[in-house]
Amino acid sequence: MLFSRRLRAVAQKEIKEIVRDKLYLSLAFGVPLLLYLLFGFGLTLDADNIPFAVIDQNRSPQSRALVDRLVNSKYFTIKHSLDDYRPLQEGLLDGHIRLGLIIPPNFDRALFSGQPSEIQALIDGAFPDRAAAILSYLDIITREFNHDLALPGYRPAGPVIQVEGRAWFNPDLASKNFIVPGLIATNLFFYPALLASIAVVREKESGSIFNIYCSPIRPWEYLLGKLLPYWGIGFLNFFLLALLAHYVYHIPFRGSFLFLTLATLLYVGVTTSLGLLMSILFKTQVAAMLITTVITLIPAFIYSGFFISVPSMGSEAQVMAHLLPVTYYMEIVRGAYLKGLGVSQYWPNLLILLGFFAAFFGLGLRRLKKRVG
Amino acid sequence: MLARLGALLRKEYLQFFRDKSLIYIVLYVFTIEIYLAGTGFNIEVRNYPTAIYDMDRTQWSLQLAEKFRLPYFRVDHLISTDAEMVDLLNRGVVSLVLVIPHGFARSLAQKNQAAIQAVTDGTLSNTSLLALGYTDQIAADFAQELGQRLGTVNPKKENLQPQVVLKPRVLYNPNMKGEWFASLIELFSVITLVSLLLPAAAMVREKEYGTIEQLLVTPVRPVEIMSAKIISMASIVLTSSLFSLFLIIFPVFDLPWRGSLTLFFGATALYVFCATGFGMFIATICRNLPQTILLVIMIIAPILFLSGSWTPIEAMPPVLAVITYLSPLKHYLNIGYNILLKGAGLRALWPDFVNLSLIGFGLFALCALQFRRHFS
Repeated sequence: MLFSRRLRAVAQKEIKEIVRDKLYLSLAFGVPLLLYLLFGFGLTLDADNIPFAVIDQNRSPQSRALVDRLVNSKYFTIKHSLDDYRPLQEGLLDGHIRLGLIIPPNFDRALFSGQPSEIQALIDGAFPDRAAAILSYLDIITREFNHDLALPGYRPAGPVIQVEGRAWFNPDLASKNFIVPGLIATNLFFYPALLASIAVVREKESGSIFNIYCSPIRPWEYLLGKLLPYWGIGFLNFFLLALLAHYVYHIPFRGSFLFLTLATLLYVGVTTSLGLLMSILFKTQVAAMLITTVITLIPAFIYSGFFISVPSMGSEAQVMAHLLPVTYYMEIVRGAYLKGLGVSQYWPNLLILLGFFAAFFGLGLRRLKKRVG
Repeated sequence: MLARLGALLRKEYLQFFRDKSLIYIVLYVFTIEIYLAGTGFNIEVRNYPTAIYDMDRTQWSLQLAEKFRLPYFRVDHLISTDAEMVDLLNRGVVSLVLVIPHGFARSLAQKNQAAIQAVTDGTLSNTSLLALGYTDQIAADFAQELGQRLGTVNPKKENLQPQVVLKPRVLYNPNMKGEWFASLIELFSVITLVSLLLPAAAMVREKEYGTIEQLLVTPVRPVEIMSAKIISMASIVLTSSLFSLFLIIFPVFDLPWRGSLTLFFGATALYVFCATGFGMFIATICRNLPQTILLVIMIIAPILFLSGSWTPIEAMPPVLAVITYLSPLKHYLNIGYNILLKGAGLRALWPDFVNLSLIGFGLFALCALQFRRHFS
């Protein structure tokens, strides 16, 4: 037998405690599923149906045609057609419209007098990424409008450069294809860590740790015994998430599932041992769980490359990204799903993850040894 | 009654300040964490890692390549083979490869038109789309510039074509700074997390140790125990958010506060009471701390998600958009943003205040009911 009797005893006790607490057990599997479903279905970053209002002071066929273009695009939804500035400003102020379009009285006259005809757009900048999206949508719509306005027989005099855009790995540019595999990485980062973060500190708070201190069990046996049950839960969660990715979200899988499974086994080991380390370092359950949540949950979304690629981050953020295990696994999981890449590409990532595991487990062991000694 | 409440409050503060590491964590999340989130989060295309694959190597292709520069594109690879392109995109080192084919300049000179390719790494589709948009614009601008230089485009003559010109103005955040948005979102999320978790943890601990039984045999009433926890934890959260605003968000990120700070703190107090009430409710259901924190996370995720902070509410399916009214954060977020960034007042924001109060009182009543059933 690979594991000693003492180690197995610790693991069995931990499993018993988990299984006995029915609410906790159902939450342990239910929470990641809920988060996965919620974010997977709802997290669209596409800014569609932007509510807008228009003040059309021109009321000509041309101005109406322009407004119709906005109304008929999927990007915008018209809320009001106004005569006055006041309600427009108030709508922007309380946030129920994000864009106000103002077409001046001489819009159509200017259009055919050989001068550019100006329209004004007031954009709510409170959400900068949405403001940027509104700007680029408006740009596209006016460009198309100008193109269709062109007089018959008009040919652009100057040179034209066409850009053929092509997106590799995700040709439809569907955001769920990057969000769903990304969620596997973020979920398996914070969740196993959080579960493991109470393993040791609970015994410290209740005082039963002293039984361990004076028993013949070796520190590494105790830690590994504590680690294994949570490692197992995290690993089982991975299969649940992978099943959902396939059957519910229909995410293409291009790599080797065996490779991804093995890499995940290592990764979940890293994240559980991170939680266990926090459990050893802190004295109360609240502190251990809170710090684990803080260092895993939000960084997992901000620095891991979940939304934007690591090379395009600022230099400070890049340093943070490289300090987090989730960044290395994010590449692996997206590579396996979308790029069809495996061990030949990602062996350095595996080595780094192994390093994290050794560091977290080793640090935990050192702290625990001090106490025992 | 006041004397009893005072004694209970003293006990709560003493217990909180005894756990040194907890104090550090709370300080950390309200300062450094907010700073990191503010600087780190940026969905726009900046420093987009780009490679140029110039097969043409003419004056014009070089000039076009030069247009791809900071702050939008960071060109740090000039490549000359397909294999390099595949490798760079596979490894994720670059996210865009601009391919200028052979005969680009010749085609422009002879036929007045040419094509280039923009190959992006589609794994992050949101930024890929923006990058392709920018590429389009750069190509169009370059063509225009070239036309003017060659004299084929006469700016005056071209303007005889009917043309609409858009004059956009971005209000409230004219430079579209990501820090303002991200730091406030982070503050609101942290307030939510801490105000749900701290009182719930304080309460569950009493249940785990059995000290709640000792309290119940004293003359204090259950409602007083509940109120003491809510008041003490809410005051800690409120003080910490002051730190966060005056140490980080206002001075470091130059966030202008345009509206009434008093109104903003009123709303914050209302929101914190709402959330601590919710936390107490959770505590009545749970028997130990691990259960509590899992339940808190299960509840906080929908609250954050339905608030419209990350996903615009208008883009959600209609059913979901209606459910968002239940998320107290949705109303608080609207109030906070509109007061701080837009200078809005009560006149524009009263519906959000009404909704927030309704949710708050609902939760409070629920919590008091549950508390009475549990402990009397």
